[in-house]
Amino acid sequence: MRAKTYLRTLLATLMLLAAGQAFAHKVGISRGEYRADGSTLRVAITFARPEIATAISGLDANDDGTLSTTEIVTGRSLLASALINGLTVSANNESCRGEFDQAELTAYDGVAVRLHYRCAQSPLAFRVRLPLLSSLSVGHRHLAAVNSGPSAGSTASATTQVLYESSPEFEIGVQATSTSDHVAGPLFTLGIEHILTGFDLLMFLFGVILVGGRLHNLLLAVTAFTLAHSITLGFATLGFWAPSPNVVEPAIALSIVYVGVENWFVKDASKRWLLTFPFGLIHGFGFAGALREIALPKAQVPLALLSFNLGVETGQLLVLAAVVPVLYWLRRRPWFAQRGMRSASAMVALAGLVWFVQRV
Amino acid sequence: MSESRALCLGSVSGDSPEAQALRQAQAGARQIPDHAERWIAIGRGWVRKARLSADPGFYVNVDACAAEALQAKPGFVPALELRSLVLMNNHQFESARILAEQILRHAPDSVIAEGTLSDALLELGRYPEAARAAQAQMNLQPGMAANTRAAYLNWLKGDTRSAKLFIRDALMDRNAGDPEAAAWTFVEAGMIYWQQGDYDGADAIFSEALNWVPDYPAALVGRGRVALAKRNASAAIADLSKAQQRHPLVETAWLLGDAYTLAGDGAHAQLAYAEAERQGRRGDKFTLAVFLADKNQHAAEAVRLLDDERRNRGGVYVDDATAWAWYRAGRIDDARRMSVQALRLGTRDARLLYHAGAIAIAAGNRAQGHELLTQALALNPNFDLTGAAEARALLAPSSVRLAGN
Repeated sequence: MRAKTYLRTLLATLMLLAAGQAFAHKVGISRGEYRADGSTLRVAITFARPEIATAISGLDANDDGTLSTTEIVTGRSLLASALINGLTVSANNESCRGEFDQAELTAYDGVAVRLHYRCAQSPLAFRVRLPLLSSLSVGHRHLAAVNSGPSAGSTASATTQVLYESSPEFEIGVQATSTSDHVAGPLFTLGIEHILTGFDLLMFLFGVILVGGRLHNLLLAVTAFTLAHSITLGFATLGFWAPSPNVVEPAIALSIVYVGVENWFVKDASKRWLLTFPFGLIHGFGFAGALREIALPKAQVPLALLSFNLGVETGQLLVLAAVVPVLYWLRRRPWFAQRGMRSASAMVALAGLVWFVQRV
Repeated sequence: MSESRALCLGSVSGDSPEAQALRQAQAGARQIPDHAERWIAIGRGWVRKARLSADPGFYVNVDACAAEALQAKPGFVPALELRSLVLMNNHQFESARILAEQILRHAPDSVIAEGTLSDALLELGRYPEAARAAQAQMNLQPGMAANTRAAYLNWLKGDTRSAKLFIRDALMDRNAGDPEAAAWTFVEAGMIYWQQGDYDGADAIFSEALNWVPDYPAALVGRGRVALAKRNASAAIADLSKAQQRHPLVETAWLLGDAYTLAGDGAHAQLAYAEAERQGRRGDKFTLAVFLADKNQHAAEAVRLLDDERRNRGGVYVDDATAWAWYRAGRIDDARRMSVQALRLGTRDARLLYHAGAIAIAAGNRAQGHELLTQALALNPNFDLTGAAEARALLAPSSVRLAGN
């Protein structure tokens, strides 16, 4: 019933799209490259000519809605001033001095501009702000390719930031001097989030602890799982090897099915670490997917890995701390020992089966 | 990471249920990037984000998700459906029509493609085909979306009674799970009443929309419009200022300027009109052209903007705006021909009737002009601050031609 309501809601939203087009028009996009080089930030941006012609009053001298080479040559000071004021850079809470280098027309109706900003000293991070966005077309998106390394060589890392009018700024951490805080904190949080929102992993853990046993056996099973997924997570994140998610994700679902089914037959929970270790290896490859999309500088990968892993473990402990006492209490009830545990295990297996079908 | 993936997985601000759902969908795609459905789930999340924030830029993210889904599964229909929505949002109506038809050849039961096809044809001014597509959508899945389209199509044809019946049916399907869709439909309903000059009815409906989504900009604009028509300048300024703050639009700034004019605050009125021009130049060139023609300013620019608009859009409102811009520019014969075309559906909109009336008088057909102006003022006496005043002036015994040149 809920699914039906959700679908109706979704369709209503999508289907009313055109009716709500009072604000719509073609959204403009510009692309920028930002490169930190010591105390200097070098910027190269390509805009659509009509956007700049409209945004910078007086630049489009013949009022034809676009720009010619003559117009960007004669309007150089106008263009330079608008861009320097429209793109500000600061470091250590001090403004960096911007200088306009050049502008030229490019293919596909583009205009490419180059600027650089000199800061008082080499900073840990540059803060870039684009007030220019409020002059460009409504909804304009600026795609900023950020390169925190000094050159385009292998040590540099590139990520893409998306800026728009209500989110007009970002920070560029300088790779060589960036502090551990820039990576450790967010990755630790990401690890916790990954556990708390990763329902398949929660279901697996629930299946493992459902069957009960002595506390030290439970801890042994969880520790084996942790150790195993740390191994494969590191293996994958450091780029040695990782199987396709098309294999890993269904395998994770099957591991849940297996745990749920085994709970019906298991007699001795003390050997469960023999099960959780190999399954942990599979889950580790799954965790790697969360880190894969974050293009971290190579030098920061070990710290990122450690932080993420610590986050994952913290998340696991939080879940166990909440669930184990409840299960302990339930297991002392005869009805749970007779029927409840088996019913819950069947639900675990069923959930795993559903995920397996979805993922295949 | 590719640009499309970076955009689709772009950071989502806020803690609203929609934002959380979007982040959850992104986590799902990170886990299994080869599953096209996962990218579609994110794309739909961005559509909701775009509607709720009224920021069309989020359709860039939607398109990126469609690209990722198509990469995972070429020809995937839900991805093509998303892309057709993006094309509509970009005002690429002909491309949207072609894509919607292409989708329907492969998936004849695609409700979204039928809706998009109907909307694209409507924007292109191909009304009979738009109505057929809307009917096909209604056959596939009656509901809020289909009924809202049917209401608008009937209203365009001058059948206000049927429009009201359809919009009532649309509102029967409102649900708390998507308050924005309900609020939008209430706004559509309110506009039907406003166009009829039923200011109290419209006001109540716009207020109901605000119960669904507090400070909903479209509903605030509707209520501000009613307050303006009722000559309540302070109420109009309050609602329109709030709407403009939340979602700056040409039309909102224009109405706000009118409200300040009504209040006798010329300085603020000029600021609001300047903002209308600024916003128009940033995107909504069509409304900018209508605004310029209405205020009888920069006639040549208004004509040029509408010439551009006519290259990819049609329909009675584009015809009407073009006729009015030509009238302001002194091209009376062209304006006359175009204004006749603008009235071809029998749309009961006072602005259209007023424009046609003024143009008829300028073209020498005084009797017909008077008839149209009388109809306009009888239908909606205060449809527009400038327009209604000009219509009354033209009906005055000593009237002179008001064309700009």
